Amino acid sequence: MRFECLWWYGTLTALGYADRAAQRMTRGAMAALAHWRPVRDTHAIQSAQLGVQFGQPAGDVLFRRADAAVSKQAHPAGFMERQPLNAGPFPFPFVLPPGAIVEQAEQGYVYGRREESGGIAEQFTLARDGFKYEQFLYSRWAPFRERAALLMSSGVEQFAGVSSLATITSGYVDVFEFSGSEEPDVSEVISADSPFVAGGSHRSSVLWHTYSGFFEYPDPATRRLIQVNIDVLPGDPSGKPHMIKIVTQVVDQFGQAESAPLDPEQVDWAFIVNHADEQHQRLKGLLAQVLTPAAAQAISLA
Amino acid sequence: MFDILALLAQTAPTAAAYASPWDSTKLLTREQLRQVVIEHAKRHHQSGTGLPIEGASSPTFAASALSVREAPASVARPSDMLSAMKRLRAMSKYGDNWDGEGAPAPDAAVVEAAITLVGFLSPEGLRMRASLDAEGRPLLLLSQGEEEGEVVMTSPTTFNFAWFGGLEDQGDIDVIFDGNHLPSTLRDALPKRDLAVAA
Amino acid sequence: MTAEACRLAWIEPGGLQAARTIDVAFPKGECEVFSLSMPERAAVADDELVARVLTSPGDYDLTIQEILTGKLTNCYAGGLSLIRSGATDDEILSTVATLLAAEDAEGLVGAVVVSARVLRAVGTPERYFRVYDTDAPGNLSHADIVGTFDTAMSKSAWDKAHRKRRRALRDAMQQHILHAVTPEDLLLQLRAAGI
Repeated sequence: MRFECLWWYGTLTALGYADRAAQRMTRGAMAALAHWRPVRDTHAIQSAQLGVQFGQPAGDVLFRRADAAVSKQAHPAGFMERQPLNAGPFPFPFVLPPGAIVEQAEQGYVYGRREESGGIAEQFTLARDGFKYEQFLYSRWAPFRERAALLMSSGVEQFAGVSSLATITSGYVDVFEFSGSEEPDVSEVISADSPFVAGGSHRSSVLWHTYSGFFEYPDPATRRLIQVNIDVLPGDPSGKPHMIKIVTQVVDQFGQAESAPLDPEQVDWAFIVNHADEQHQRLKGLLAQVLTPAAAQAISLA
Repeated sequence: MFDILALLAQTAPTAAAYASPWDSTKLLTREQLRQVVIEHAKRHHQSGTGLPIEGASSPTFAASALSVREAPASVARPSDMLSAMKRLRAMSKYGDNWDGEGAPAPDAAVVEAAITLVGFLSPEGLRMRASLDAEGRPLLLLSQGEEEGEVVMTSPTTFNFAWFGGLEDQGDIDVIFDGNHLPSTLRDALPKRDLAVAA
Repeated sequence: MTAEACRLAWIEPGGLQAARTIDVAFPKGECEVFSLSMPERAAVADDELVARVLTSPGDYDLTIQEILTGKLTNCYAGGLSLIRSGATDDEILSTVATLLAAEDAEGLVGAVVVSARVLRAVGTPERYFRVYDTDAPGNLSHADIVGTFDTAMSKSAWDKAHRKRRRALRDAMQQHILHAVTPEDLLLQLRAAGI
């Protein structure tokens, strides 16, 4: 489920998980990025995603047609593995007569492309109400966009013919790993002046997080949700390093009460790509507002 | 008594976002939503990540939000693509005589174009090594089985390539590369995958 | 065709054009009987052993244990440097030090030790490569592998052809690798191999 950032923050506060006793972030002199390493060396992107969601789940006929279109593209593109989309927990309350058996309709499929090295490099999800493309070996935006188009464009346009577009979501998970022996100092990576670090929060090199979210209105038909979530996670004796995880997400929402209606005729793959391109630029800007100049330079963030 | 969770449930995105996937006409009640909140919050607490755990979400796309999770454990060894990108990035900083034998320094813009090309080639399933040639131009050495080839970036927007070992040798020169698509002349020359699908 | 004419074709304009210039001027390989360095120096005979030092990652891929063809493009530019038999210890160690100090070198792999005949035989009955005695700073016992050019081919055909020729050279060299961890170890192995 997707929750608005403010809602999650409240939830975590209620459980006592969020900021506790004061621990001031160590603010040493700004060092060069010598002790933190972008997780992919030349960049820090652990995961990049593009998703398109529709307002109404597809019926069986449309779903199967979309699945056929996806399979036709996915296999030659190297997606040799496919598994059913996790059905998730049973809804509740769910009162059944004794002995009743409920069949769950297929909810979707997850396709995976595995590299010769053994890892899953790309993942594509076809669900009843949308599509999601994910890369774990990200290189550049243009190749990512081209792969998303290959897998998604046909299905998206099929869905768009019968269902209203609900959201277009783009996001990145950027990870920096600590490689020093001394106490980690997150100020090498996270800018002390970042507008996305909660003011007055007490930061340490150990467990710490700050989550932000707000809306923008790039055009009359779009409400854009911006989310920036920063987690600082400790290492452990097994060798797992200290990590900084930065999740940046942009969700363009359509059909909102305060938005102008979206003309369904204009929803085609070019429409999706235009929004995705804008989101990509916005995401770069968000990350730049989180990182120090040294960290930005380390990942060639213009 | 102030019920923080009930309050949070009421301020959450519209209940339509949590519509049961089994019956899209029914919305969850406030009590159902409260239970969902508690369940997910507990999972957060257990995971320690502070964010939704992938795989525990409902099958609707709305549920599969971006999650902060480790890359799948199977991406354990460095990929050729990442190694090539790292090597190209390092080579873009070379000066004249970077090889000790008089080769000129590479052009950073040409190297950047090669990095972009690496991204397009990565999904093709080839072994990939990055190098520079005697003129300081980025050279991608590719192979798959007994077949092999290479691509040399000759400018930020052009490359030459050759591919050997297939039914016939293939290649082209001065191929235009706009950075937005893998040119079809190169894509068509590369070996096709075995389309047998894993069970 | 004189030794002086050959030498001039090699050094003027020289640099990255040296290989093409000499081959276009003397396409039948007439200059192989001369030194392109000094008149008193001997040309490289077929039976002479020559060595090509290998470093990684520029010359050699450690993960697949294979010579990379990228560096072999030198054959079509200024020549691919070789150490000749009879090189002094200082010349060998100096050459290794220079290559290890290069930006693209992280470690020593060893050297290819092979007779000039083997290199000249690549592409038989055609001649894909020639081996010339050439100059190098601080090294009197120096040679270069120089590629030949087929000027009758179209530009695109030649682009494919010369890449294929480099693969053939790699395959020939691949079978003659001595592995060494240190320059001193390599020196000992080169001497033992007959350099």
